[in-house]
Amino acid sequence: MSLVMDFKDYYKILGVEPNTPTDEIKTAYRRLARRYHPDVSKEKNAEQQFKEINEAWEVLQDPEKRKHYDQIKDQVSAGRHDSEQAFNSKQRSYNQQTSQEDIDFSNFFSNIFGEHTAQQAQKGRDIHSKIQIPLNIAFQGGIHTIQVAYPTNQNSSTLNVTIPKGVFTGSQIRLKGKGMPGRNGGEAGDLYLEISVIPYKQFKLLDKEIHINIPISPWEAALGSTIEVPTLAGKVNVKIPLGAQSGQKMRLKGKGLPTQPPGDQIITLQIQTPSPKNENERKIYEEMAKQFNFNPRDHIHVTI
Amino acid sequence: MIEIALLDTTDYRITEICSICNVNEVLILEFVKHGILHPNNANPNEPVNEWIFHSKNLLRAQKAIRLHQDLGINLEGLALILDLLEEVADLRQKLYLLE
Repeated sequence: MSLVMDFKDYYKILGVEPNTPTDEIKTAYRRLARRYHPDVSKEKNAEQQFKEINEAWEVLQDPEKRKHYDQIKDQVSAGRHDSEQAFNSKQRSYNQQTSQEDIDFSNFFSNIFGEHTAQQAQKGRDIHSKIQIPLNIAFQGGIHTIQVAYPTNQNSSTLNVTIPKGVFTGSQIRLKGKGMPGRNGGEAGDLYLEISVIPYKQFKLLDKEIHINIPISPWEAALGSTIEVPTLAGKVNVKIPLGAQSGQKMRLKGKGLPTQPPGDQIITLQIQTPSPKNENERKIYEEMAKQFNFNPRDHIHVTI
Repeated sequence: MIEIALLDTTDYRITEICSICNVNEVLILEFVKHGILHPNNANPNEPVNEWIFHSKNLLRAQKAIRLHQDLGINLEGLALILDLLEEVADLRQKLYLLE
């Protein structure tokens, strides 16, 4: 056990100098807690940061714990590795009256302050986490691998989760017994996964609708035509109406997520105009310019 | 074999929300009063154990409890924050579509 290696600088974590008075530390803690709370945070790795911030505050807010921690900090920075002996003699079994229930403390914290001294069996805490699933897996279901850090394992555990088909952003899955292990023989808590669906190839998800942009040629748009459109449920023939315009949307019923009732696929038409590659093609465009009486800007008036 | 449950496919009664979230019914009633949760039934004067909640409320309840416990946000603030979070999530999705 090397306390120097595991050492956590709680002051640094909260962004304060070591001699800062408690109420100033509290302000710093509150600001960071708001910033890194997993439900509202935009930061990467918010969960881990939030855990550290809470542990740091847990220690620094309690005068006794802070004093004990300061002593260890001094010893560690003086480079006294043999102070491990000093730790063991100073280690007490604190009566853990934590301000928050069930914080996961780091090994460092547990080594200094001793283990939680509850006697009776306690059910393990639930874990809440967010995962990203690509749209094709959300559509048909499939196996998704996640890493969970349990306190009893040095390395994190790998779980293969079967994602049911028809999940969408905001869906929640519960894995029974895969939360934190219980204490004193209690059963483990559950693992809750909140899903965020990310695009797959050109397919994107909005609520239960699958969205895709479909390029068409000017003559397909002008004359109307039937084209083949991909969906995650296979190819579909779609009739482009005569005079279709760029940005026009069409709804393919039931080709979205397989929920109850099934969602739709929305295609957005994009007219792509080929550049003329030779004299012949240019002549055709010039003829069109002559034959059509068309000014797309005539409704745009600029008056100063 | 991991037992997996998809939590969006059913509606919930108040006792189920309480047991999943591990909280007292009193708190859930306060949540309803403050607009944090919305029972389906048009008439909230129905007896409490008849209330039915769409599954969206389960996620809202869990977030509300976390924000309440972790950040000390009061009941009035929670409703506003949850609505704003939903709006942000919605806007992000729409933005994704435009990229």
